[in-house]
Amino acid sequence: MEYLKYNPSLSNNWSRAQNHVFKNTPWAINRIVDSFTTSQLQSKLWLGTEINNLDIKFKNVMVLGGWYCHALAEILIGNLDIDFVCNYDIDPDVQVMSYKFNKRYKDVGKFKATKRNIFTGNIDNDQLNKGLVDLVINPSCEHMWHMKHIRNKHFDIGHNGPIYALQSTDEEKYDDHINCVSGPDELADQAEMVNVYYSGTKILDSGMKRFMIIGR
Amino acid sequence: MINIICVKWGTKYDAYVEKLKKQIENNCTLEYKFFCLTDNPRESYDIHLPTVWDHLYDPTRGKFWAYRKCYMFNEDLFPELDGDQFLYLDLDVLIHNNIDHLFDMDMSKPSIVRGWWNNIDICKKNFGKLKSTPLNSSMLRWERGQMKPVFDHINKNKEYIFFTHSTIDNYFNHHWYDIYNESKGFLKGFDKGIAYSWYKGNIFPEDMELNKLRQDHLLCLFNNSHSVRTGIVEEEHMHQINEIRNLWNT
Repeated sequence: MEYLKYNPSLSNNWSRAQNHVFKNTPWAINRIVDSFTTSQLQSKLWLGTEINNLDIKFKNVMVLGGWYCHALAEILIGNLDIDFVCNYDIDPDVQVMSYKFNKRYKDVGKFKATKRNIFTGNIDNDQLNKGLVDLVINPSCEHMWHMKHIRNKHFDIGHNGPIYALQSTDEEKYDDHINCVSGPDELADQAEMVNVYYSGTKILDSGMKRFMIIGR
Repeated sequence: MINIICVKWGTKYDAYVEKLKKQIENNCTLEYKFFCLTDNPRESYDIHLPTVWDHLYDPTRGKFWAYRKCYMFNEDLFPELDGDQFLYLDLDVLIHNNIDHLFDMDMSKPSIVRGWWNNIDICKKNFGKLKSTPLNSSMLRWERGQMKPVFDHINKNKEYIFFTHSTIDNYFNHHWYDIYNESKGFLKGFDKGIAYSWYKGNIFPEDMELNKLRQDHLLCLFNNSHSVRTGIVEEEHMHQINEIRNLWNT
């Protein structure tokens, strides 16, 4: 997967979303800019590529810490034709902006953003109403507690549970990176992943080393 | 009955307890009981701190380091605390004026110091990064039972909280306050003019002079005493500050 489908409806949503940020939430401008870096897109396209390689039709996807989820939602819904994506983030700004970036999918019931801490709270009701979650994506594991706790709290273990696609890094210079790992093996250990379908490392444009594992 | 509480662990603040007790005596005309929750009880006002969360604290990471302050939110743990009104004060505070009116205020919600010296836009920007809280727990005021949900939440999610939140103020900001609608949260902030910070200022952006006494306020806080002053690497004690020493020793 090398690109997003940059079509008029995406262009409309993204330009309006950025306009909203400039006018209403100026404190978030730099954050928005950071979310559009080369590395951010490289990381998400890599995720999309490897999920696509599983050759599984996912229907109900949970994204944890997906931030504004602009590129990732387009990859999951636009490129991979996933039926429903729910983005969980603790940042109240994220919910509003995530909706604006993905209005085309929100309006047809394919996308939801929720301000919710999934470690202490419950799965969103709208997501539950879509049936079993079959894929959990966390593109920012370095920002949060071990993923095994999400699985143990919310999901079945083994083949009845969802597949997990997790990304993290060993880059410790940022103080919000509270849970860095040394490599994909440690990431899998943190998630108590038994069956690993994919494991890899990529050096991003920023120089950051990124790890990814997919499995159960 | 009014309970005025402080918390002390370790030895670094040994000299501060009596100083705080004396300041309260000088600035409160109401009937109250003074208590110090401590890991080393020696005085009649000392109450032994519980230790049940000690194993969750990782000193190499330093997360949620002031967790011992949160035991008091379950007053039932301490039979000595038999009243309904509670005021907590950090040990490193300077009380400028009479504090009686803290016990005659609207208590529909528990109150915490709202650090008015913070730029709230920075707090919003950094919310998702788990930093830049506008709250400061150097002073808390609550009625019996009001903070029990906080204690219960910590107890239920303790492993997550000790792993994730750098400070208890950061935790309060994420789970019990609403920086987008500050009248809506579980906690409410004390009004402007009550507390200011020696090291961070008073009200952003108009009154941000550092290291300045504001004796028309109730309380001067010494949060961030270890890092703000240029050139000071080690923590600064109140008696080492010329402008403070005499007031503190009064």
